[in-house]
Amino acid sequence: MLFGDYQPPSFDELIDEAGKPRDAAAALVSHLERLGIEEIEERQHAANLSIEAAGITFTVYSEGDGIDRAWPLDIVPRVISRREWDRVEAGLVQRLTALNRFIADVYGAQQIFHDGHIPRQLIDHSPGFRPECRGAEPAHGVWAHICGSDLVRGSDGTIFVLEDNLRVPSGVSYMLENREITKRVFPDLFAHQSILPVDAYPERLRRILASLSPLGDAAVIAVLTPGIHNSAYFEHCFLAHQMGVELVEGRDLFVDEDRLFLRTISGPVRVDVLYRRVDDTFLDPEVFRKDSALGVPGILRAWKAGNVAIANAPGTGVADDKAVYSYVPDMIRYYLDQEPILANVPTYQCGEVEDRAFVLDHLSELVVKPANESGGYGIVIGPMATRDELDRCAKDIRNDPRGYVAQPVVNLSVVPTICEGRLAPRHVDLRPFTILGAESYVSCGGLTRVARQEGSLVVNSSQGGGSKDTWVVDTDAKPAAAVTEQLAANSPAPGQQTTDQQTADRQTPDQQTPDQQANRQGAV
Amino acid sequence: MMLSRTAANLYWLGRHLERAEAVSRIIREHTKLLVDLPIDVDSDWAGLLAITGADETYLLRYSSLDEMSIVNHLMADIGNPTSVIRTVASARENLRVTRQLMPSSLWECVNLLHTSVATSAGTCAHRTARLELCSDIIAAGQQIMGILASTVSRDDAFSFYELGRNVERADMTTRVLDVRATSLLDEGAKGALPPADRSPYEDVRWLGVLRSLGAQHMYARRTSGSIAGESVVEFLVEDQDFPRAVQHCLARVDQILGGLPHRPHLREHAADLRDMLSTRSGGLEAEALHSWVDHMQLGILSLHNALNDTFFTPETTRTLHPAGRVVV
Repeated sequence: MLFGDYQPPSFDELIDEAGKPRDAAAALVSHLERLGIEEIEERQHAANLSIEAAGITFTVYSEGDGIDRAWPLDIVPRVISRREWDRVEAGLVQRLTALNRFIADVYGAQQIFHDGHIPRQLIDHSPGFRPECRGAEPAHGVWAHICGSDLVRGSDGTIFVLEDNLRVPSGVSYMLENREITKRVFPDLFAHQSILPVDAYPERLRRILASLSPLGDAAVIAVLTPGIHNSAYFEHCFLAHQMGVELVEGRDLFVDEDRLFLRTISGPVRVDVLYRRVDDTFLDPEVFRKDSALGVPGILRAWKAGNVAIANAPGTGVADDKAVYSYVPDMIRYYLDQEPILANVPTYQCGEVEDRAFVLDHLSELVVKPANESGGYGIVIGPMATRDELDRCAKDIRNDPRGYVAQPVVNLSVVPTICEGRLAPRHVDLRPFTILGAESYVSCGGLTRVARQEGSLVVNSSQGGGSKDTWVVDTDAKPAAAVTEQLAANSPAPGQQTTDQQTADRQTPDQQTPDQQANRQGAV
Repeated sequence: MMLSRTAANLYWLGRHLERAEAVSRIIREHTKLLVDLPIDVDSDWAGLLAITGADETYLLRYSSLDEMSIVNHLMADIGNPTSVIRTVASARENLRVTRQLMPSSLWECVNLLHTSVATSAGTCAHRTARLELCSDIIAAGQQIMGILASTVSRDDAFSFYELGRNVERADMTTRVLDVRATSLLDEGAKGALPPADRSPYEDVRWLGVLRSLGAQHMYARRTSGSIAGESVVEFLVEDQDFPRAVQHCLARVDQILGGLPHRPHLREHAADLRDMLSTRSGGLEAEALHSWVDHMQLGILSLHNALNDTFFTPETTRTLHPAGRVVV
């Protein structure tokens, strides 16, 4: 029995407390049981080979030369019901909308500080705050167009937002590649239930980027990459390829009379929208780091003059800060007059005297994070840390209180994962991607990251974590078999086995009803 | 629209892929040729070093001119920038930064080629394994050509790849002629014998020249069979229709340049080169052929430099090697 001695240590995404498969995962679990572990491992092996053949790689910085590693995918997917996902989706759009109102406010009138809802010092000391951006007015009032949130689920089943990654979040290409692989691994499951497709993302991203220019679909769009040595280079290529736009490096661009141009074989070509995957500090050596070879001198001038849209806009990092994070629920209430749909993990600000005292007293029970790092660098997990590590951490907090926040340990949910001849529970998080411009869109599911060591809570790929495909399953959709019968009855054409829901989801914008379009607009 | 940097990458992709396949074919045919020759005939492995311009790096690293060391240097030595393993790695790096322009099947194919060369190049000292490896590389090269022929649009991206491939081909054919033909002609001259008394292996070796460029069958069709030095050289230089003949490569370069921006001065370069083809005198003297080839190669280099200055701009042309060096 595949799940005979399966014992999840916390909330399991596929198996409920009674040891029964959850509704959305029922088809998957019975399929896995039919296959048996040997066949599952065989398919895992085949998946690894396809990943190698396709050259799906990522790079880890700490390995000196930055050698490519094959992308680690565990083929047993994580499953979420569509009903639950609808709520998460609404929560993510709500959150990104409020965050954008906040960023616009910070670089504009700063009303939220005047009204006393957030302490101004929070910004004054934030390394993500760029005073050079004050007064800019990006299209649609949107600064952060692409957000890769980190979601986690606690033991009681509550989904929390752990981080809002608003700078240059990565991972979406792996979400798409994971799906390509699992479709090949489990074709039957895709044929017989409604798993929402994820592959609309690049086209929705392209449309949202185009919406940032007055030229719309005629706009010249480019993806700016730091280059081949960046750990996310694979993704930069992938997205440019999928969207059919140019992939450029800083040296391919120049600014003339506050306009941005590409160097091409036929001479300079004007760029209207730049999806940059280069950090703020490297973006413009005229304004930020003078030694940056990755950026474009003068690009900030061009942006402030309104001659080029930059996604995400410079300065969005001000809202992507673990100290600012704890105020996001307040922002939602303040700017949108709504209650937050998604919960925050309670966060202690080491910069606040009371919080700091509590954190220092309870270090061994808390997770301490640098306020301004990403990729899992510098995190200390209290219950797993040694005495030495805790002492060092306490010292770091005292030296730079504003630089740290602490949170209670969220005992991340688990998903059955292939481990040496059996399925064993491993902790996961989830990174969905929310995009915002003239309209909004949330990826159907996202990238599930999985810790590969038993009990480990560290899921970051840069720290050795793996990944899983994420299936949003619509259990209310009619089973495909019934649809097939209907089709057979109504039409002579076989092979169009698609449920109503899939059809709805694959609609192109032109096919959307005015109501649907209005809803999307309203969300912004 | 095409970025200058991208144009350079695609041009080098074409050159490196062509070079990897060409060198593999030359090594394969030379290995097979030895089977047909008696053991007392000079096997001339050193000539292979000269063809790929690897003689200098070789002499720095090895002391004797033996088959195993030479083949290893040409195929598996990462210290030799023109070795097959390095050439394939450079092709992959150039495609890696331009893969958004090409079908993913091309990337998969080049990626697999790279993996297989990286894992098995070390076995090339053994003739059987070597023949198999060379054939695999050639087959992969032809698969890549097939993908490009049938699934890539004839736009600027394809043009730069084709430019690179044809410049490399013209260059490679002249190199093979220079080393192989001049040494054969030299021997013929030394003996100063009437054709009937020449070495019985001479035609086997001219056949080897044709085979090393994959030209045997088309040559036979064009000339109805008989293998003679004069007509082999003529075919490889002047044939309008054979894809590796210098004439054909240059005509193709000219044609491609016609579809690109900034073409007039570049087409003059190509025209000059084609004029040079007709200046080759009909007679077959080793010395004359050698100096004519030198001339041609300088012309090809100057065409390359003109492409560089016009499209790629010198300081941003080439892919940085992972180690930070410039890949040529």
